[in-house]
Amino acid sequence: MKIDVELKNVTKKFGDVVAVSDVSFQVEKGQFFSLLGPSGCGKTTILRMISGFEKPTEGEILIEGEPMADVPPFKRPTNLVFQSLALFPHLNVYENIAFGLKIKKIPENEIKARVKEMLDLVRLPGYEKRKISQLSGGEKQRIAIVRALVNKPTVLLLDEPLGPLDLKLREEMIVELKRIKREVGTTFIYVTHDQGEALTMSDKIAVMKAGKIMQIGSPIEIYEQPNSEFVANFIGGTNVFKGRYENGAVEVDNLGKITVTPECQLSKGSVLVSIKPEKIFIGRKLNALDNIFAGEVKEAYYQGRVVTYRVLLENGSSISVVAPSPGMEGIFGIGEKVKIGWNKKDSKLIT
Amino acid sequence: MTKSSIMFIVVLGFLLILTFFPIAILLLLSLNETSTLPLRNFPTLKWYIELLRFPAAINAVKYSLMVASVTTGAAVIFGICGGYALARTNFAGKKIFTGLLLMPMVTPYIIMGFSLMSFLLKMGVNPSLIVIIIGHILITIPYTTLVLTSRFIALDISLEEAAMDLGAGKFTTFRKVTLPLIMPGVAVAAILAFIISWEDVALAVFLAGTEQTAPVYIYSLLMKLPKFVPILTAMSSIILSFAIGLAFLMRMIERISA
Repeated sequence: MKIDVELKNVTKKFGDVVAVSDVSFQVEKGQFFSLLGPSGCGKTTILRMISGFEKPTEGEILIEGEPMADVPPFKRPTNLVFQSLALFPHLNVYENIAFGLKIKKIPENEIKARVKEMLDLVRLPGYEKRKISQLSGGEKQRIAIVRALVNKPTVLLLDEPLGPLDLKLREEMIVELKRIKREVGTTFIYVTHDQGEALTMSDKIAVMKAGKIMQIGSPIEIYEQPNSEFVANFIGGTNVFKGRYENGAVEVDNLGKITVTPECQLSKGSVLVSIKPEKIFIGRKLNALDNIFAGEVKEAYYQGRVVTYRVLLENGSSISVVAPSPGMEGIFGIGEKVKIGWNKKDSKLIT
Repeated sequence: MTKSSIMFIVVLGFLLILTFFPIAILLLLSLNETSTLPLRNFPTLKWYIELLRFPAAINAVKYSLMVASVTTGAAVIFGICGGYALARTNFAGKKIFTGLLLMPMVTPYIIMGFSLMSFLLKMGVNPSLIVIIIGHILITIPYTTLVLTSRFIALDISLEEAAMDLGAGKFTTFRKVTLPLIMPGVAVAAILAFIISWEDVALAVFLAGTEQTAPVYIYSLLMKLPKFVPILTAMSSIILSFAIGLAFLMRMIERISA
């Protein structure tokens, strides 16, 4: 597989502050690669180093095998969709999209054709003469994306472009972005703090924390096999228990014995166990599950599609459960005695 | 409305009358048959026509236009460079540098004019229009720099980065993105510089050689020959109307670009 972007031991310091610390990864051609992490984790700095606006303090960035150290932003085969979108307010839609092509001295006829093709791609045909101030939020997003894409970059870089949109529009744009990605086939590097966006769109996700990459993998790998408590929590809240592993089970203080899958039995001694809230069943009576505990509902949040419960177990631990709404037995109220349980394959050991 | 704010408005209103009443009289008299009230044969363009018969007065207006135009051009270019540097770079002593740059705003022009004249005479440079232009550039740079610095600060830096990302070099980025976006600021700075130069007498009176700018011409005639007063009211009215027109234009630009 061809590698479009490669970071080799990249570190970036701003004065004494280490923004990015010894980061290495490869992005394959045509991949949708996401950098996911909380704000201030260094993900935007990585994007700005790839686009050339920041220089790595140490390490090397290669695009299509070429070292980028001495290449200024305007000569790199990358285009960036800015968080603020940065559409030129003094130019109309056509002039915005044509900006990069005009600088490359592409003949006017071809520019016209390519701008039209791009507007068709984002389903905004005939928008050439519109002013930027006349566009809605979602339209601005689309124009910003094609203003970058029209230059046929090797890599399209996107810096949280869906940030300011409301939930409904965000969901629409996620679908839209996936479709655009499928149609153009360009390599995408996408920065976000929203694990939902990353899971939905990415081929590969790098989860970051404090300038370091914690885990790289497919959405399924990241979600189902998190390698740390941070990743497990960040990628969608989870229940983490500390315990000691012994003979196919983990002994957890204030909880008891949890059975785990045989494949996890490689770990020995002190371990963390993660159980995703949506893998846990809740009911008045439960059977045929590997781990069952009794408890009392302390909190219940109705969220439409699901209900999130906080259950205090008899032996003192508290656990969160996400159940379909309404479940077979309706919605449980606060103070109700319930049983919760899950299968041993859903007890994931974190090293 | 509270009692105190009513009081405040009354006081302000009185001050406004004090400001505008004499000016209104001046404008009225410039259109009057005699140089004093009451109005006689009002309105008449007599003094404006009379003014055309004074080549020195017409030349003074020409010189003023020239000085103000050159001053404006230079002060705006310095303002763009200085504003960009102050908004986009950090260097040791930036605060002190900014403070020094703004000094002429608080220095009385009469002191600046006198010291500049003494200095230039020592250097062997005689007073002339060019010397007035140098003086005016010095006093207008703080204003143009200040106006443009705030424009550059308000300009989203990612717009410039976006241009570079799309393949534009530094110069193209400046020409195609930065400059068009700060244009309203450039216009405001230019008008401000023009008005300051156009109206200045305190500095120019020291720096003028044989060619006098309009305010200097009015000032020197007033000192010498009070009988020219009616012509001078006409000339003052022209200068004032022009400045007010420019100030109005400046407000319009500020409102449209806001």
